[in-house]
Amino acid sequence: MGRTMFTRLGAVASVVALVVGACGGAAPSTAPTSAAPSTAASAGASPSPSIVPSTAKPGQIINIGGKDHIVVRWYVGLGSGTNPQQIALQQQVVKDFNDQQDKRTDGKMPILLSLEIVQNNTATDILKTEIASGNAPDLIGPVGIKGRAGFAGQFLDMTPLIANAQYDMSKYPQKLVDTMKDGTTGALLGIPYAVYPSYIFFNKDLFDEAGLKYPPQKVGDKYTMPDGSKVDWNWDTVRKVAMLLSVDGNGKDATQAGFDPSKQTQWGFEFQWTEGRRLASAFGAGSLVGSDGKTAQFPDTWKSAWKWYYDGIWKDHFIATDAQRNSDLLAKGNVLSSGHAAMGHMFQWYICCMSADANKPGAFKKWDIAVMPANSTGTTTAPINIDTFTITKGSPVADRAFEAMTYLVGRLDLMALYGGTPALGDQLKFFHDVVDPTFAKQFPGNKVNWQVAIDMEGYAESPNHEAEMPNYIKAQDDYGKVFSTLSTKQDLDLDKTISDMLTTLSTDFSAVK
Amino acid sequence: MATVAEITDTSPSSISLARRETLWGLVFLSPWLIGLVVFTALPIFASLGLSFTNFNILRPGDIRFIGLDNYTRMWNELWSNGAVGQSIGVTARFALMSVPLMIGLALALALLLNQKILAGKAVFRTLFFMPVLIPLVASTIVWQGFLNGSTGWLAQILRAVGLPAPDWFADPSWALPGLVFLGIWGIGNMMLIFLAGLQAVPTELYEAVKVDGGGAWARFRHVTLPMISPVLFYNILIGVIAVAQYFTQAYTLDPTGNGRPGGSTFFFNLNLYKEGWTYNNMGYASALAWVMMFIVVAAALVLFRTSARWVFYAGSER
Repeated sequence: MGRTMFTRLGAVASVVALVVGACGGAAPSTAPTSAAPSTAASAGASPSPSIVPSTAKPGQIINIGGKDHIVVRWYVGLGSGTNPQQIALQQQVVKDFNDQQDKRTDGKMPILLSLEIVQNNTATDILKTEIASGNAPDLIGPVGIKGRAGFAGQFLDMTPLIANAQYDMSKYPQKLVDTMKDGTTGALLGIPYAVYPSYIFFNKDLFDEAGLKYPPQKVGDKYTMPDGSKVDWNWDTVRKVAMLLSVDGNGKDATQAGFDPSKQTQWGFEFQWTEGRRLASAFGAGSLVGSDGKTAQFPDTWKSAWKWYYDGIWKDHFIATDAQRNSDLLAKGNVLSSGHAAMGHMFQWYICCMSADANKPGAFKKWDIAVMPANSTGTTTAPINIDTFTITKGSPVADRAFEAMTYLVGRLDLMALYGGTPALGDQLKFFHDVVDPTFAKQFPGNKVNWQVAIDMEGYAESPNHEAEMPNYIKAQDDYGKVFSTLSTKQDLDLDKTISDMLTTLSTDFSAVK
Repeated sequence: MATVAEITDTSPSSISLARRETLWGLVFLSPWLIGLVVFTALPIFASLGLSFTNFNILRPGDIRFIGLDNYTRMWNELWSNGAVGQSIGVTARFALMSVPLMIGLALALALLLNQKILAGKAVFRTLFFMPVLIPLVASTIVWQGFLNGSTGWLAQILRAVGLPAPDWFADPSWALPGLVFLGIWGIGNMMLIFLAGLQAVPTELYEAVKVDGGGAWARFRHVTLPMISPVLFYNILIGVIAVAQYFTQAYTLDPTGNGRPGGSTFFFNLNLYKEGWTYNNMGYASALAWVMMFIVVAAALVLFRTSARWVFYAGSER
């Protein structure tokens, strides 16, 4: 009997353990975090201060090694930061920061930075759940304007924190600071950190094969056509050159009679992983929102941009259709890396995904970057992305989170791994010291003229192509749906399509009370 | 082993023992029961309550009761070419295409595998069932490649024989048929259920038809079909429910949830997901979920009501 009772009690204990195990630790499923083990929260133990449970509450005080620490939670996933190398470095950064905190002598309680990394495709949903359950992290980033937009009204205006900490903002170019502001309220939501200028990528191998001159690397320089004539480097020139570089299985280019687009093997240009406003902004800055804040508009420059793109796909065949773009030949959408695209609009962050297997037959070996082409009025515009860290409105430790943030924005090694360029300092040195070595193995002997990227920062568009607009997510969705049809639907009446889209967008904008 | 006397003993001590055993039974069941209540039942009822509120996941503090507003909005969207009407249309079209086709093909395969003369039945059964074991996301990605209108295998085969190759998942008119194809690939489960039903049909019934001079069609029409009608009914019901839950494949094709290309794969559940997680309207998304549940229940009721006319249960009065 006693033995039976013992067995039963054991079973009950197991059941209780199972239930507690199932119900406890309701933290979302995430990518690896620095979090671990329960050891951290226990008094008296002295593990590395960087180890902290991911379920720790913001502002929670945890005693480690007899010393109280205040928890600041850092959430990664809305932008860059989730590949294995980035995870490893972020964990190291957290450790360095926490170690430094332990040595502070100013009498302030040391911060215990806790890292939570969530894969990008689920990061938005998980963050929303955390906010809804009152368990929002303090510090979020790196994140761009678009990543922030899904959380309108959830982030803190940092102006008072900056003033309190006497943080020098004057060192940043005003243009970059402006992109950190909420377009509706004017609140400053971050400090410029990683800058991602854009430019034209070109595959030297394909240009050499076609016997064409490379695109210019200085704004204002002319392009030399095959007949020797020197022409302006504008979108019309890009179209002409791109057609010469678009080739079918019979070796004919898109300018030749008998060119068969159904057997195309090479494309002259690609707007990779683009979206409607980004593409249009490459032709000139603009906005979908009219001056009254409720009526949708579509600048003529943007209309010409969409037309250029649409004709490039269906009429001139130098841009891939949606089906071609997602084919194995074009690396399932990673077109610029496929080796079958001669030119493309590329952001600095794309260096994360630039790949070419040198051993693969046909893999490209040499590439470089050129300046953005001018539009029909001669204006050059280079869309730009900027990432930052931001602080949640409800954070009980906003000032401490800001302190942690100023440390993070100073870690250029981390920013380099995010693929960005520093908002401040000697950028060219940064490219040579940090970016070039990452390509040394992949593209041996290839030299990239990074001065082009730095120059393009000066041509950043304003307003930014990701700028806030009323009913942001819904509006973005609605124009996104229309934009996607440009690469899937032939014989579109583009004017009517745009006009219908504007009606929908006006409804979206007006829906905001 | 308990004796008859022990079982029929109703003395107070034995009742107490029965109670104790029930209690212990419940204790051992408790992980499942607690899981069911906490993770399934409570969220279901919570979603019903939320469907009458303006619950926004980013502003949980602003939640308030709005009566039937969410349902009214849904009704209006249904008739104003809004997301609800569009998504119901896509789901209904898909149901009409995929359920009959999948049922027919699964039954045909099961009939083939049930033939005496077929060699290597076990191998075929395994082969047809194997796709069921592949995760939906993986199989969708594989099919995206297979059906790619530019370099996909099917496109290349069609072109090789001089036929035009559709752009499947890039062409709004071909995207749904593409998903139907993908669904057909995974009919192994349905086929196995049919096969089990076929193998339970008494052979003497076939012999009786043969004796009466009936051919293969007569045997199928008058013996096989009535005898497997409960299995047919079950598969149709499961097929309808599966369409109502359709999400993963469409979301994998277009993670923005817009139902690319051109909204042609904008299923009801994509709309629900978008409302809840993209637009943060959890109250409205809850209302959408409940309406879908009522639609499924209504479809199931219709099937059950009509089943009296065409489903034959051995041993029943009919």
